[in-house]
Amino acid sequence: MNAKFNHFYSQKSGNDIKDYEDAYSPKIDGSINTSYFCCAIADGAAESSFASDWAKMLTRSFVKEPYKDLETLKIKSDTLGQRWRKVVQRRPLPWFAEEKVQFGAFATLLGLEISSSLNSHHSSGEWSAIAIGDSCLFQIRNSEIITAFPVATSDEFNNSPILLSSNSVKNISVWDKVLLKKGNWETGDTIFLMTDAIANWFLSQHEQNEHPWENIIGFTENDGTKYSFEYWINSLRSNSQIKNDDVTILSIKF
Amino acid sequence: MSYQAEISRANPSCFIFLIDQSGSMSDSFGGGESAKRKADSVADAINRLIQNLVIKCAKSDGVRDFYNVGVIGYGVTVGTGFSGALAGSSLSPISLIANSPLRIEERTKKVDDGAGGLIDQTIKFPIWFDPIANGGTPMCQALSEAKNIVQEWLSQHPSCFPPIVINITDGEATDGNPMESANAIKSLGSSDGNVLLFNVHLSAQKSSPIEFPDNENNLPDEFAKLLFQMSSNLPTHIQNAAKQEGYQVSEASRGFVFNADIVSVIRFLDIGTRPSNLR
Repeated sequence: MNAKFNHFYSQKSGNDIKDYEDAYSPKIDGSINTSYFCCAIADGAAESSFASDWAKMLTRSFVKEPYKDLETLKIKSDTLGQRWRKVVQRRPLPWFAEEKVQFGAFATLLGLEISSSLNSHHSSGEWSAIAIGDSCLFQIRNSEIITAFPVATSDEFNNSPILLSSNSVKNISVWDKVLLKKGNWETGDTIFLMTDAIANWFLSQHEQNEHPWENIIGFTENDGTKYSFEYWINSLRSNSQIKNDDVTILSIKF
Repeated sequence: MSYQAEISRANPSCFIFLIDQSGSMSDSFGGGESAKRKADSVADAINRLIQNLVIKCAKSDGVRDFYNVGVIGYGVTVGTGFSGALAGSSLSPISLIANSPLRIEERTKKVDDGAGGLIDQTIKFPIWFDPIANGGTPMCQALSEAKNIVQEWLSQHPSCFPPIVINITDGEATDGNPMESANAIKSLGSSDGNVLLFNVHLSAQKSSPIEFPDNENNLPDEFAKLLFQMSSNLPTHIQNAAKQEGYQVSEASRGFVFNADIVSVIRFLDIGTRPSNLR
């Protein structure tokens, strides 16, 4: 495939960049010339501690070795959860941090695998995605959203989604909520992965017959647009068009 | 829309806890057969409330000051309930409170073992308050004191999420009818809504726990009914969070519990995404 990959992020207004608790992988920008590509985003829950470490582990691990099915996800999340616990307990913790470690960290995960069809001269292919929580995938073709996954309408967002935990006991209620989706891509398509605040705005705009993807595609067409992206997100926040939350967008333009 | 303000370090809110330390608190709790006194239940309740508020605000880098907290004890005297490093201030940032318990005890609690059973887990239980039972029940005076603190806070934080005042008592005020003082607190507000007054009634009566009732018909005595009437309606987002956890609440439900735990209110506060599988 010949595609362009871009990533954009902005930490919650009023927070420092070290407080950013979304995660994404890979950390690249630019052309992709390959027959196989993986990317992932995760959104660490504000109410858990060490959530950014957990979100980073999930995205890196998925891109390194994608989870093809629920069984692999279960095994991998157990292993990662144990590693997370070792990492956060490297130093002595105060009583409140110890308690938070007992609860575990929580995050969404949206992982995407893309491959080219061998007989299409790399102008089309397949994708498959796995989703836990409310991070979203949108596929745009001919100025239409042809896939919205796993959330299809803006009123489906709430403040307490089911999330993947580093504490395996807390995942028992998660497994039957894991969603898998497959699709096809063609040259000219764009696929976005987004965390919930901006995904909610994206769907709301679309429900008002707007073309929200045009705003984001504009940022991918020029280099050096990170500052203007940050400015745009902050203006959406200050106009109360999106909630004040971390924002992450990955874009793959085929 | 009220009760929508973001709670953040830049726009913190405040909590005031009122704890009844009167002589009647030495009576046994919940029906006379228990060895536990009402004063023990009050100390447990306030320590658990503060512990849960600290944990809610704890992040990888420490405790974030989403809240300032004050505690007013009322019994022989009315005044700040904290001692040690926290004694001098009517309100303290939650991070300072987190680091200043009187001592940290170890307790065991039952946790899910992931295979359908329960196992004992040792947890650290910080203690800020020991049980006290002495003197009358000057609840009106305590509510007036809380009003002064809240008023001062609101003058400095006019856009904050409205302060929450939680009164933990056995209900028998000895300095008049507390309704007027309660109404005076509830009439205060920020641009985001009126101050919320919730009441926890710990009674010697043997009676089933009652949580967030929407009428007073089933409340067991006049003191419970008065505390119910004094309590604010639960804001919509708290009603929704309570419903999600399986509580039977309606639009008329009030922030009142009888012989029950109100720690759930801390869980219902919105400081960002809360996983529904975090219980």
